[in-house]
Amino acid sequence: MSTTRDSLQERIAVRIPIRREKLAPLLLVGPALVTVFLVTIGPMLWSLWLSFNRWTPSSIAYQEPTFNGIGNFAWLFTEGRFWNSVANFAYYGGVGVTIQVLLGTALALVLYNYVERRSVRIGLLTLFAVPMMIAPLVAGRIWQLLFLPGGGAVNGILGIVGSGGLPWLQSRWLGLTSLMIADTWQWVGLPLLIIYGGRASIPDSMYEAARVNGASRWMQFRRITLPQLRTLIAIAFILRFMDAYKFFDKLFIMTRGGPGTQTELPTFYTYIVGFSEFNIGRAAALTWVIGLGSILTMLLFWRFMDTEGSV
Amino acid sequence: MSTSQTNWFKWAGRGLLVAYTLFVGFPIYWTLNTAFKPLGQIGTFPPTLYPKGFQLDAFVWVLSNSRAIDAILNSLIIATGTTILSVILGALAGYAFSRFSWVDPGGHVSFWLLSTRMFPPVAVVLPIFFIYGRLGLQDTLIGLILLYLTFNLPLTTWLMRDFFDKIPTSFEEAAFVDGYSRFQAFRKVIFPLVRPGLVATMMLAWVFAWNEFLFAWIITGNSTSTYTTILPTLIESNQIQWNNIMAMATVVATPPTLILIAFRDNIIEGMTLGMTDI
Amino acid sequence: MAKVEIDNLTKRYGSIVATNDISLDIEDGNLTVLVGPSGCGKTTTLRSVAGLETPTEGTISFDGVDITDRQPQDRDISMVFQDLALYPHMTGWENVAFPLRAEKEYSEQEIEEAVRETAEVTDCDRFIDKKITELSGGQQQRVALARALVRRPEVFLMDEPFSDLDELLKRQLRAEVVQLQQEFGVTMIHVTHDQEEAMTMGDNLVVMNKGKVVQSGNPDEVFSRPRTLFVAMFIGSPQINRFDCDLSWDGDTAVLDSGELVFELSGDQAAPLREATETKLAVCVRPQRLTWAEAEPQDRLSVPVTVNLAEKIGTEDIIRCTTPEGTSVTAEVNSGILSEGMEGYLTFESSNLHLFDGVDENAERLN
Repeated sequence: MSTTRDSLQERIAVRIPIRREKLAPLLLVGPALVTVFLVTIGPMLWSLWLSFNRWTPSSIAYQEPTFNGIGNFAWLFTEGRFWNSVANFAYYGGVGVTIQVLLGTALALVLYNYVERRSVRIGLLTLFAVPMMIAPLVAGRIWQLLFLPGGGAVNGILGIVGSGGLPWLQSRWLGLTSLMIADTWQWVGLPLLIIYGGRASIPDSMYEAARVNGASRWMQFRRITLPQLRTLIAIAFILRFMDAYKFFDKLFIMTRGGPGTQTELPTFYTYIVGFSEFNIGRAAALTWVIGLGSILTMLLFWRFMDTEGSV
Repeated sequence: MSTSQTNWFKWAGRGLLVAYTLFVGFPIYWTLNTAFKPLGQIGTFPPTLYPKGFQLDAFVWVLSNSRAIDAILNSLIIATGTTILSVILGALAGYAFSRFSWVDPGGHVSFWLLSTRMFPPVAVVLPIFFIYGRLGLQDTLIGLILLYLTFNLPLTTWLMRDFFDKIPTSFEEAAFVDGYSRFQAFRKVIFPLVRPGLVATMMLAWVFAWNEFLFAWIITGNSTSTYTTILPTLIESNQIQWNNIMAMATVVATPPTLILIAFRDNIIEGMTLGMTDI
Repeated sequence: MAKVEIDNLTKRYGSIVATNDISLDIEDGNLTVLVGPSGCGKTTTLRSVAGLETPTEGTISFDGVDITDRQPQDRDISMVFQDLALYPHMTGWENVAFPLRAEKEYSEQEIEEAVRETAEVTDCDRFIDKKITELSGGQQQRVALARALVRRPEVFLMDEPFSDLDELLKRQLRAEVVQLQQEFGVTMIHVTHDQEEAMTMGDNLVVMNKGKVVQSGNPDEVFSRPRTLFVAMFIGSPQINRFDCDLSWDGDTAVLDSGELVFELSGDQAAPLREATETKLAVCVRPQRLTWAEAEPQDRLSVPVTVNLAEKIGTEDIIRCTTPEGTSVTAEVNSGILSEGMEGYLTFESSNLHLFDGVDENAERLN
């Protein structure tokens, strides 16, 4: 009898230090998680609820939110202006991000392979990182100046070269293109850094072994460089594409969605619906559709990457 | 495989690099060019490649304009405040995630922490606008400091966890065996070793907060404008004063650029580390 | 200087059982080596003694005092980790002084003396003022040892610290550690997967496999009387020769037939075989016990072989041979007498055989 009680007490004595051990990490993580919930997740959950409500709190006639089921979503999917913005996004995101990633990759490889001096490499990497440190809004202002129709530098250079100036910020596709150019200027550095880091971490011995076996430069690129960088290129692509969903500041200051509503992107349109038209229910629905679209895209890429890897 | 072919490749590559360097440098040069010009020289055709009537008037205007100065100061307070907060909370959480793997079972907790970055900022600011209205937090510095944790806290937690992961657990265990409590071990051993990573994280968080626009645009009013919120409306008269605007752009872009140059090794490591380790 | 008692130590991680009801006594001032393959539970046991793992069941005591619930900070132990855990932002001197600064109970002068003394004893005083990153692997090892010794702990734990070193340094450091242990009379528990290290260092060997203690005893005992087939095959270099044989009886004579080779045992030698529960037994003989003969001997057991390879290791050669049907046999003989291609017999006394009840690793010793 007494031996079983003793062993039981032993077991209890062992368990208590374990419980004490669990308190500290919870205290460490707690504040961060609570903050994220209060500032981010909580409000977003409320907006999810709002997306199922009709709420237009204008100053004239204030109403409480009233439930209207999927009314906002139905409106969203039949609203031409929304689909307009989606078409713009397909162009801006698809073409723009691809260019950024390809350009960044090419530059990273050129920088690693063809620039001998380390100090020059670091210097250039630092220079290429500068645009990323500038506020997107400020970058937008700078490019607005560059794209001015009359005295802007871009049209000025085009004039010197011989072609006429273009209505950069005054048309739909040129407007989106000028946004793309500005964004490329600012963010090519990110894929560049990622790919550069990836290339730098491929051991030289792999290339030496290939050279000893008689592989050409092209073969080395195809068989060593590319497979090793494949994952990083995909990651760079995903990151920039996720950022494309959030693109706002430059659009706000360069075209303001114009002319009219021609260069609107989904996030900007949401801003208009929410803070200009003050139709909160619809704006909330828009944010969730966009957000879920973003997550879905990421998951699709992830799945694509996995199957690529296993094949 | 002919050497002429590789040579062509080499020079084409270098050409691309040169072209891109010009592409990156040109807007920076043009900004400075414009900032030092008198207003009349801007927007002329052919464009003036250097400020013929070099003047510092634009910078003087920026530094003496009370609205601009207030805005820049507000940005400074908000960016610094939110950085301190997010780094402290993020480092604590990052340490816990690194040393106590059970806090993040199956990676779910960190996934949810990170998933908030998938949503565009307007998704958060829309409900916050009303919540802050009701709580009286709109147009307050503390309101914006807290709101910025939305994007800064996941970032700092993620980065700090990676930096802590690089220090072997045996370091703390050796200290325990020698008689140090976890807190003492952290102070004497872990903290000195993680300090470079901590600095890089702080710098990145600060720059992101310094550059933020939408949250500030929606939440701030007259008393707490940040420099980003006054930039769109910086028009004195009917004519847009580009020299003033570019002078302001230069002034506000200087802190992040200096930070980059000073901490480039750490930041470059952090930017690839934080991003590629998803 | 303390006696360590481990009673019924069990550690579970979910469904994985790392240590399974382990009971060990380590006498005061004794150097015990825990040896076994990866995953056998030796490191978990060591870390449980350190307090870095909390047992699921069982107790650990130092000198009769139950310290199972105590934090590592409150146990008077020192530990050298596999990666040494030397702090790179400090010099060697500061690393060694580190344990003494934990409680603020020593004056600067006392610390200075203790560090100098310990550094001399571990032969690292010449470079102890350098930063850790400037030291070589061997130098770092000595600093790690000094740090562990500086407090003169009750129990001294080592977690495979020598595994990444080259042979010469390994042998040197092993000898020095044994010397220090004897000089200071510290109770030491040393974990390794290297059976040669275990054999040369330990007063007491504890062979572990899959979370259990398989055999515990001094090196001679474990070498010459392995309790299970696992121990016989794990301990001893070169590895023991093994023949799986079917047992049958011809009157009072036991016949062990491996298909190619037949061994006959009678009288006292055969008696233990009567206890056998299996019909297929593992029959083993150590390479060191084999002698070369040109012709088949009548009074000893033997195996016909052809020499494939003679590895020279100094005064002995390791001879790798094969029987006519291809079974490998290894012997250790005096240097120079054998060369490739020679045919003959490897002979041994029947008393040198190790007989095991069965052919899986848990098969128990019969004789």
